[in-house]
Amino acid sequence: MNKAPVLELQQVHKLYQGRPPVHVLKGVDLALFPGELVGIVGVSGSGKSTLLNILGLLDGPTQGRLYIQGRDATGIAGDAAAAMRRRLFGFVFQDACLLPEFTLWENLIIPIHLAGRSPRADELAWARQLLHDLGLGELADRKPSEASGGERQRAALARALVGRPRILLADEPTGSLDEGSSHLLFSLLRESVEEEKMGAVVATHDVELARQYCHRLLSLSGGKLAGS
Amino acid sequence: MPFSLWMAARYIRHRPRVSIVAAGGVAVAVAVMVIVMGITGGLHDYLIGRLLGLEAHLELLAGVDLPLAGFEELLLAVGKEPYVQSVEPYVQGQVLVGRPGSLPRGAYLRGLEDPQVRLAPYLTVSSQDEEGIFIGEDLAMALGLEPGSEAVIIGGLENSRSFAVRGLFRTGLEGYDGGMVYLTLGAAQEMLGYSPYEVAGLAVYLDDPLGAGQHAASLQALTGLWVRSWQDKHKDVLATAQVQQRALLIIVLATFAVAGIGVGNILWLNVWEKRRDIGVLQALGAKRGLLARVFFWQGILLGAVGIVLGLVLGLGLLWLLKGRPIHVPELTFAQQLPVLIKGKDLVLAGGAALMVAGGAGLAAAREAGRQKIVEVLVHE
Repeated sequence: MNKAPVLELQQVHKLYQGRPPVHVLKGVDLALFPGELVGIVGVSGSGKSTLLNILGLLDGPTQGRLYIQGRDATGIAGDAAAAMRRRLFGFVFQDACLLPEFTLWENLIIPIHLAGRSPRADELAWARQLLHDLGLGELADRKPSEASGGERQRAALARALVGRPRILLADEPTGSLDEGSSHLLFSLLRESVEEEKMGAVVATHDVELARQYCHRLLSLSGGKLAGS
Repeated sequence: MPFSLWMAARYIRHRPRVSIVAAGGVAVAVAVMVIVMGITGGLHDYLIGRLLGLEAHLELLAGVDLPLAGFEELLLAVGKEPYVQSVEPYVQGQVLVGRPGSLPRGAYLRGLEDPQVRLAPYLTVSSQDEEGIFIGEDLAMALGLEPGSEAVIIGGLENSRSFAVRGLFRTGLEGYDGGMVYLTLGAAQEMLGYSPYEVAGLAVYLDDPLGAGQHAASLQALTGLWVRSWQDKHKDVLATAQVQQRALLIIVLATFAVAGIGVGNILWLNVWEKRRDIGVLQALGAKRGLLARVFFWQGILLGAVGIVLGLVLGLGLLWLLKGRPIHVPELTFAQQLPVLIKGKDLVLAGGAALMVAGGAGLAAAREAGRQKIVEVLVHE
């Protein structure tokens, strides 16, 4: 495993101002290495999604620093953050979050279009291979509403992988799946992480599943991250 | 095809009913504008055509009620100007007209070198006589005159003469049909007390009658005479027509405003319905500008569909209305609905629709660009 972390958090705090204020993260340290699948477990409301949002530049920390590929990315927001997400990140959300108006294939290649150009032949070939490898080859022309929950989540994983990201973030990706589909998704996730040598963080409440497939398992509780 | 346009087209196609309602609003506005502009343009054009038919485009005068003497050289000089189609001397003045032995009526007498040529398009009845008067149809009817019958013209206390009625004319303009008579120049000079070397002025006809105002200054500089354009002469009629056109345009603009609000509402709702998608796309790396363009394009596409439908609807209805009989007694001059379709009006209607739909799209785009990623993605 490469020693240089692809993603690193140093003493990250997140405080939501409100009545009363909620201190969700209280000095979180995390280093994510290439080829590593890290599971973060915790009860609902423990701050897993908040942590993933900060890792993925969707939200900023109240305090602390975020490094991406060794560079300080704290405070990057707006279009600069969007550009960085497009180049380096892949996201898998709890309920797939595919765009309902588009087929699975179109959903898959949307991230390539977001670069502001037409997909190249090698990118399309990679997208087709992903569809095939994830068992979606026959479903390419279906709309998300015509696919099962497991198929939708695999399509979401394919979408996250199509840009060959260096970092993959998955927030409760098996939250709405049955046991079989959950195992399939986690095994595909681990396989992809190892093959593509990317760093991945998966937030899940399913400790057993995380223990079975993740290289490292961390627990988020009381705003602190600890090895388990 | 740009990605944002592709997405916009898909969003529109995915909600056909809503899209048709939005585009339909634009279509109605475009159709209303095309119809209003077509009919008012047609009426305006018809009116101008009628006014110009008998009017000189420019009149060159020595002054108010001053005869113009020695006009032959001026005729030659003015006739050489490249924009002048023809020029002729005329006399004009008030006379009394009647049947022998009956009560005469006041009328304007105009004398031209060959009145039959000028009146030809408006003659309803004419005789083969080479001498005599042409008289407006309404005036003739009031006086009981018809072609071939004898009319008396009284130009002054001791200046009355009988003429055969050569023809009747109808222009559609009350002032002409009920109050004008035409004679040859020589006869009219005699009746109005002009010498053979004097006229009231020169009547100039131009290649471009609508440019009369511009050429008036040139001819004034050339001749040193007072120049009056047909627009000056009919200022009140033209101003009334323009006010009517503007009033209708305000109604049309209100229609566009309603259409714009309709499109804007639908797009704004669309932004709110698509908040989660907007968040997902932002998470995948979409810049705010790209997302804004998706909604702007939706406005433009709905506008474009509306324009096409509106043009088909508007032009189709104009085609059906064109030439239909008018049953409005006040509109005596036009028995059929005149319609004039100008390319620039169609471009104006299309442009207005695009502006309105584009404006609605911009408002929606602004709203889409303002969505905060965590709020729409995480807290939805």
